[in-house]
Amino acid sequence: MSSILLRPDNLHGDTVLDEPNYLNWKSTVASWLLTKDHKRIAVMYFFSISFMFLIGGIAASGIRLALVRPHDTFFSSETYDKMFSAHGIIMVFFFLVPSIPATLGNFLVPLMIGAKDLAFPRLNLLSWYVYIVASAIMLGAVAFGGIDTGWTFYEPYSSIYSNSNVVAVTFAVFLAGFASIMTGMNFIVTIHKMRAPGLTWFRLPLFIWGMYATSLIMVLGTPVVAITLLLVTLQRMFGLCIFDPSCGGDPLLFEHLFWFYSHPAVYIMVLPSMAVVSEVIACFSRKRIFGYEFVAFSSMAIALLGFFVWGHHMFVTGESMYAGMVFSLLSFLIAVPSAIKVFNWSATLYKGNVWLSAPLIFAIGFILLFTIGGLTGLFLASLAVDVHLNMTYFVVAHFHYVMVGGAIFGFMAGMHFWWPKITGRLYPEGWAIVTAVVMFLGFNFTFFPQFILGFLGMPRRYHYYAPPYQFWNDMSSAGATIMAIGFMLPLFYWAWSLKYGEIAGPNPWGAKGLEWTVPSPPPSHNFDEIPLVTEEAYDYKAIHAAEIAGDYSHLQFDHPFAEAKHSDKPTNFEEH
Amino acid sequence: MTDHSHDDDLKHADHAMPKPIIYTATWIMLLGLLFVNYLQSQYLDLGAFNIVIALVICLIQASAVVLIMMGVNFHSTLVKFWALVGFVWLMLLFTTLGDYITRHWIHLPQGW
Amino acid sequence: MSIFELQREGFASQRLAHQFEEINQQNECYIVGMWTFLVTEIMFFGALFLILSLYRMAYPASFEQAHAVLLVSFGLTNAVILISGSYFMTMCVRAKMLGDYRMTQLWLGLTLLCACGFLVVKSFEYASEFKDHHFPGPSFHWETTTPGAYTGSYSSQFSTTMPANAVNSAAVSSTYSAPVTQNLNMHKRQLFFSLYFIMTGLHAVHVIIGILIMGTLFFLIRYRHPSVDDYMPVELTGLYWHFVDIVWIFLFPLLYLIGKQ
Ligand SMILES: [Cu+2]
Repeated sequence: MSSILLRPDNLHGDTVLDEPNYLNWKSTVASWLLTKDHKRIAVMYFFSISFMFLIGGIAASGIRLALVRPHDTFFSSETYDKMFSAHGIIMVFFFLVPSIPATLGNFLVPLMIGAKDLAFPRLNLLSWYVYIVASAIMLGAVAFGGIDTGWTFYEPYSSIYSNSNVVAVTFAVFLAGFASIMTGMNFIVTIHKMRAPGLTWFRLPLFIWGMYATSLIMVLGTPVVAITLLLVTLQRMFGLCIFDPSCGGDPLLFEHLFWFYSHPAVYIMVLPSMAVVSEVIACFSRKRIFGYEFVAFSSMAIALLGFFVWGHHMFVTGESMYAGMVFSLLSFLIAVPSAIKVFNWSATLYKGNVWLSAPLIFAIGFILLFTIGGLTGLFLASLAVDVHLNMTYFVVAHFHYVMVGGAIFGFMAGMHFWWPKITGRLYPEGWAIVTAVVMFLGFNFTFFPQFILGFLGMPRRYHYYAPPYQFWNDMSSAGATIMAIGFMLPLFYWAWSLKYGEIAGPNPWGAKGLEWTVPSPPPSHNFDEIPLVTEEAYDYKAIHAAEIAGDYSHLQFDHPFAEAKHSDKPTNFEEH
Repeated sequence: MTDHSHDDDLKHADHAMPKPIIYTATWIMLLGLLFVNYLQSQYLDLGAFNIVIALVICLIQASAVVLIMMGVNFHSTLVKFWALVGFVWLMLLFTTLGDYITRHWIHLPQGW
Repeated sequence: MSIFELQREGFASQRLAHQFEEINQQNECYIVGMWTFLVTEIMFFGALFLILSLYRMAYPASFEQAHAVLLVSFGLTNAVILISGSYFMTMCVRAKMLGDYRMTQLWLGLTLLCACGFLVVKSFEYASEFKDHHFPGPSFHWETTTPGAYTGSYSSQFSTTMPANAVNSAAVSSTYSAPVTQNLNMHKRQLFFSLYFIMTGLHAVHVIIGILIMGTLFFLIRYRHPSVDDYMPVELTGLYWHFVDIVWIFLFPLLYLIGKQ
């Protein structure tokens, strides 16, 4: 059997990639910079956010380096403050918020719903330009002095006492907010109005549900933080007072308005990852996702309920006790839809014909880390426990488990899963699996000690600490090194795969969904003719049955893992 | 416009449009309400009800603009839905007031 | 008798963009898209209205005194101007839908005139407020004819919780109570004027953006540019302009009119 494997000969070599597709239809710089093709914009977004991730990652390395020793060995306190602020702001507003929606979302939404493009292609391009301008301002602000307020810009520090580049940074975040609003508007209209005939709401892939829920948050929440940051800017520039206690203003009002967006923003980061994970798990367990409707509605529930819990960030900053009680209760409630998702993913894997490929390993990593992040969130949502844990490393560890363990593992799962679709070539599976494992171990080494540090009472945002914290800090920094290696690996093997990766063909995973029916990379216009959808999403019954019977003819390549399955599966089946 | 109809590129939408008299009537109503609002505030002090009256008048005016001038009433359910979403979500933002109203319900010990 | 007229035959024709399948889908996409944008605008201004309500409730007396110096006649004139502008805009959209370029141009011109008129009135108003040192900041100054008007300003509903009031009550008990209290009340008036300038200022920015868009449209329509063959650009500009009107419908009474409680 081995390597012959049903691969049509014309899939060999570069010939198939010479077919007209979105990557090669024109290669001038102008054809990229002026493109209105959602796929090209997605690629440009991918490079931009990866660059910002690199900068944020360098700042993170600086933080972990500084924390190896509780003195000014490496950086002064001021530099340390500027590093963690830059890290937080860049990672949150310039990487995590646009990460999956602007790259995978942009690329896949029209493909998955059978449309030729998003509803507003020019708006989509504008979104990228706004993002680029915002990033440039942000990087400029960091280069010329930085900002020391932390990513939350709390009042009155940010408006009166800070001497750093608050105006430039808040303006950059304001602009980045508009970039994500534009993406959100585009998705909402596209998903409402551009679905292919027959593609009803309950036939949509869960990725689309996730994108819709994310877009809702972007459109409803972002303007609030935009105006809030604008007010901070106006206070600094013109001496106006809105949140300033010296003229009767309430600094806590800033926190209300900031978290009204920034709590839901956590779901902007994690809902897309959940959306990716739903796709990956359904594909690699060869089953319809268990309780499709529940998973779909839990996305909507998370998006909407996410707006009702912002006050849990203010339990100890002076919010009314009654408001605290209500927000605590609501924060507990939002664990329910998240748990529904986790249970349904597990149930999907159960008795599936599981193919343990790299995207699935990332996805399982997501589930584990998100579960830890979510459950520790419940500690912080309890009023009394929060008094002890608030503003400690416990909080830091919790939100990194959600935002790195959740969002980035989902992002990696999605990037690997759709890499063949985006580039037309396969990444090296072995390296990808190694990366997933290294990242998972490195991540836990980095952030699990921080739960302990927080529980022992080490406050966040300081780089001096008492001797008992030394061991855990060193362990965390050591783990960060491993994690950094994990993040570097894809850089190399993805670049390698662009030239030497195996030709993927339209559907390397044997996955369901309209995006897998078009060639990889897809042509500029996506579909030669708009498809008519007649089946529900994740109709894997036929594939599942075929694979159980030892028939792998739907896999059009000799991927090492598939080959292994290919050779032993039939014998297994015989034994039964 | 019928001379364009041979052109494949040019399409005609199914669309209904209210008669101009509807718009003119709305305009006059808006100005009337504005003056009622103004006169009430200047010449008739109703104490705590001032704000209620002003807000009710504002809401009527805004609804008229949204429903008639912006044509939401003549559009599909989807447009109606999105027109409503913003105002509903704004109400959620206003629940922030709940924090401020309940803050003085409990007396904290001195020094807080 | 129907309030509607003119089904499809009378309508101007439209061009289909490549990503759409049919014209009704395209139109609805644009309208819904514009509304999602307006949703963001509602939340944007809504946060400011929240802040205004909150501080009004906290400092009713200071806010009442501060609002009394606003020039109601200017605000009222502007309200009339904007509402009329909105009406002209609907007529403009209607004319464009019917493909009547001459009337479109006329109504759009009138709307533009209203928009510019609004800014002229507003700039006179701002000028007089700057002259009286009502812009917050170091130069803020409050002239009063009746010194007694200051008393009672600290009868706040939230007196135990708002931070400034903590300072306030401390100040009242101290020897220097009178000047400090007076100072604080002046600061709270700054709070009112900060909100006044930010809200009207952002509204004015929206008016300026509206003028730029409508001005561009005016010339495109005048020279029959193909990009305005479709009525959608005018329709969407109309939606935006009505929203600007709605903001003023709320701003005018809340800033200028409601004083006594
Ligand atoms: Cu939160």
